[in-house]
Amino acid sequence: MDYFLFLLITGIATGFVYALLALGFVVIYKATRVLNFAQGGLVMLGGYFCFTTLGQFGLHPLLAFSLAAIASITIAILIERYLLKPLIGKSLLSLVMVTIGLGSIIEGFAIALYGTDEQAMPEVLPEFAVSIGSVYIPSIYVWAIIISSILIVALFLFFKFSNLGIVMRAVSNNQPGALSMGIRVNHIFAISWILASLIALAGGFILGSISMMSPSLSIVIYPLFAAVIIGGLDSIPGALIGGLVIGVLQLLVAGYLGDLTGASFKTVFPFLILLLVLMIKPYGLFGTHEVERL
Amino acid sequence: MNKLNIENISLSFGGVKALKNVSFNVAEGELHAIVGPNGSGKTSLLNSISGFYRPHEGKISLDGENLLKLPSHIIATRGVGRTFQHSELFKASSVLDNIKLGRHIHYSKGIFSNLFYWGKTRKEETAARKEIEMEIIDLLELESVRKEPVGSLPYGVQKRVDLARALALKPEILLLDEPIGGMNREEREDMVRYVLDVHDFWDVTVILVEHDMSIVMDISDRITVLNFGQKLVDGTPKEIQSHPEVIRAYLGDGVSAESLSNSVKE
Repeated sequence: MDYFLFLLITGIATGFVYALLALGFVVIYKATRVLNFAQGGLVMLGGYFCFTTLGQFGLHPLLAFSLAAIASITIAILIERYLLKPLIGKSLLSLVMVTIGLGSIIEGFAIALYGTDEQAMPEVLPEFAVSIGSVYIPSIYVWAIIISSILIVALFLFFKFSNLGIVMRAVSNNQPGALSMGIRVNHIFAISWILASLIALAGGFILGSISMMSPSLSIVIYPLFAAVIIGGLDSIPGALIGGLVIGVLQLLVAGYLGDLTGASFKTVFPFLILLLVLMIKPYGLFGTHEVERL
Repeated sequence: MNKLNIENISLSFGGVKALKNVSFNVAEGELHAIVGPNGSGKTSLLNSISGFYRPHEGKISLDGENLLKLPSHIIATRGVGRTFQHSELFKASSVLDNIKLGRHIHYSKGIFSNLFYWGKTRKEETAARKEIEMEIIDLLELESVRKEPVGSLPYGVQKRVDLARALALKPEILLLDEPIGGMNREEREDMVRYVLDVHDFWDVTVILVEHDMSIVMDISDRITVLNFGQKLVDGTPKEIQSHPEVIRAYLGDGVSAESLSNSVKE
């Protein structure tokens, strides 16, 4: 029972981070209709930005995170401007290939710069002991839940109430309409990438702190992709629920079946859930049903 | 005085010439119709004015400023509002939110006040909201549906929301792409009345693309006829009605002017 509780809580914490990262994926998809398979790479890169500014430069956390954020924003702008903008109007397949390629390039750079060894993320968050019954929960999991849920709520408020958020929803809803209203659609594309890269930065920092920093952190794209598809690709609540479900199930499976199946089963497992969900609900749990009109 | 001058614009997509050397002028305050058979370039012309398409030759000037030199999103801020043939609305949002987005370009541009909804932005939004509710929603009789999501509304009402959204831009020139296309008789009559009201009370110059010749003849000050991407002729409804070239384009050879004006009267 204690073991189950431990797995459940760490699973929920992981699920919150997945939910946050899934939001980053959905933000880009909704605004630009690009499936961003480089999101895993961006998460890993964000983790390394924090690792470098906090650990290698030894800066004050506030300064370190600001610098990391500037680096992430710069990368996002470069990607949008030089990789995706020239591809506007090209087929979905080309866009997917570009983001997959981009993911590999980022991973390659990370390996070249940092090597493949696991390195510990400097601990900057205050430690505190949390125990539920006799179960001890490492404080980083609690931080994961706190940070992710704050950012998720902030994003919700942003999209619901801020002018920029409303304009972004308008662009995702109807591009010609938005253009006729004098909205700079290409700026909105860039802003979605910036938003996603900042989300990736936060996620990379948390995931890097939970496990260790290594270039293989980018495989987070697999559970993430499963979470997004289960939720329904263009649905923000769907991304949240998908992220949570995948996070919890993944940890439970790793905890109970890990000895039987080997550790890598954890990576495959979300896709088994994905298959099941898609058999019953082809557009995911909350996705828009495409209606073909003749 | 001319509000809009269109000089020798040409537009092609690959080998297809959508517009060939089209020129005409629209006077300040005029209700100017553009008519022509299917595929004659009416919508392409509208899209060129609103910056969706970029003619590779010619000049489109609004109050003397060449619109083709401006980025697409700036054109709306110069006072060019438009509606669409198949209304390109924000279907998931409410009627009010759709209309409010039209006002977005008139808000302050500060990122922070926009992000956090502070000070000036908030005041501007309250003022804009009043104006939108009082004038636009009243004028277009959208009061009863203002909270409804646009996607759930009947087609005719959606077209009205499209017009309302364009009006929220406070346009000086309004481009209407088949505002009454696909409507039933009652909806058509309503829409024509709204267009005339907007034209009269708001003091806007209107460019109207429309298929329905009898309505066009009825309400426009001047008409430009396009055929195969070229301007056939322009003039007052009376001149157009009896113009032999127009009759040929619409009805083919061997039809007399009387039969066209008769069919128009019906």
